[in-house]
Amino acid sequence: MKPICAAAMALSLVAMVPGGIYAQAGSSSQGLGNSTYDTKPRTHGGVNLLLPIEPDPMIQHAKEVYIDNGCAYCHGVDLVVPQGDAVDLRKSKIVALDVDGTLIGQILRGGVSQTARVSPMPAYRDLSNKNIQDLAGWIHYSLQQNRFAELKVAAGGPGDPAEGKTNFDKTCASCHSAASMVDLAKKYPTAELRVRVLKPASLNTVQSFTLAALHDDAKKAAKQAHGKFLENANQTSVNNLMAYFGTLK
Amino acid sequence: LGRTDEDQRAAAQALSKWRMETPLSLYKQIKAEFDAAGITIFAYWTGISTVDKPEEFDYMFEAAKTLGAKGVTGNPGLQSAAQLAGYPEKHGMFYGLHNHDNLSDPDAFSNQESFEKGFALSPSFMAELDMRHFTAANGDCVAFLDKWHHRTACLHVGDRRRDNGHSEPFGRGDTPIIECLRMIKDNKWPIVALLEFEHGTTRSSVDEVQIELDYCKRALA
Repeated sequence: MKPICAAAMALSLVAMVPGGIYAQAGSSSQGLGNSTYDTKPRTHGGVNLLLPIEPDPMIQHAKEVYIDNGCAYCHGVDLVVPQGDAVDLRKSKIVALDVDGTLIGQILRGGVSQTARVSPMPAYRDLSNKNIQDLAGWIHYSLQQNRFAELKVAAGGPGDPAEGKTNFDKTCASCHSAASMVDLAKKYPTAELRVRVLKPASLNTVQSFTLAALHDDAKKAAKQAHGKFLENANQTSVNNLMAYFGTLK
Repeated sequence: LGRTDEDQRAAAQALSKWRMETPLSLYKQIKAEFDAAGITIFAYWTGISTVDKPEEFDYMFEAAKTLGAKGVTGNPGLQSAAQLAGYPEKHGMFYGLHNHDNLSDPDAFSNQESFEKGFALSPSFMAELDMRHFTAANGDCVAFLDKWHHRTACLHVGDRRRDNGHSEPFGRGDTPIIECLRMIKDNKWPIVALLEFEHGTTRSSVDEVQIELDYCKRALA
């Protein structure tokens, strides 16, 4: 009999028989391999909507909830509208203001009537709060990926350091002192600093579920604040911020 | 359904008689069959009631031990569980308390408070946390594991909606499956996860369980 290993949880197919035995066959050491999802993917126009599998299972799950509820057909898996006149979620003020699906959920549950500019959206009244949080989680994550791709390389004219300082004081100073930014500004070349400001490496790891991580409210708040900053950034605001950091060197 | 109290008493007596007359050699044969198939027996599930005799409790643990199981599990209420206190310790095993979603019965295991009453009965009582029912009873599985992971032997992994909601395919309900599996992995807890299939589908049960397994693999990748 194989011992139960503390380091590797056994995922068990269970035989449940009245007055019976819980038995486990094998373990989950193999990868995704020939899973049913791989062989019977959700496809649209010949494209497997599930791929690529996201490194963070929480994000992959959120994507699957988004796809399973049909959002991708109109709004696009990655928020790029594939066809028709659905709302471009990358430009939605509701998405920009939403936190944890509180606003997105209202729209989902109520539906949207047809207008001259956009097609209607049915009401998703049966979504649970968790469904909505998951679904909104994918929208925010995907929006952040779009924004990062758009903003990671500077474009347009040089920024205004005074505007950048104003933005820093308003958006960043509650967590970051100007003094702490001096060190970062000196340490990294401007292009690298820009990437690190938009997507801090320490906040963009696969979510940990150690008890220490689960109770780290400061990191959770930082991740959410940086995500929101990225979602609402544009070339001008980032250029201004970088120009301000340039004066700190 | 349709069974009278008399029917139930008769069934309990028949079960009791069977237990007392069945030699442990039968369990040795069963274990040999499982060994040959490469299947590890984690726990032995038995129904118990307030009318069971003490010698039956010993028999359950002896049978479990013969099967190579780590413990015995079942669906007792608080009263029945109280009768079992002392037996897991005597046999060096755990007893797993399994919950449903019945919040109206003060004797039933359903929410965190009821589990905590059960834990107080014996240090060898462990949770056999049914995530589906716990969620349907508006419990928070993540908070439960946070506090009681050291008293949890295994999870019944499935998905249901809150507020006594219905069962769903994995990932469609309100049960935090990924979160709990990741908690076990990231914290290296010796908690076994058992997949349950109880939602409606037009697919075969083999296909559906494969989908469940794939979902969990992605969670743990």
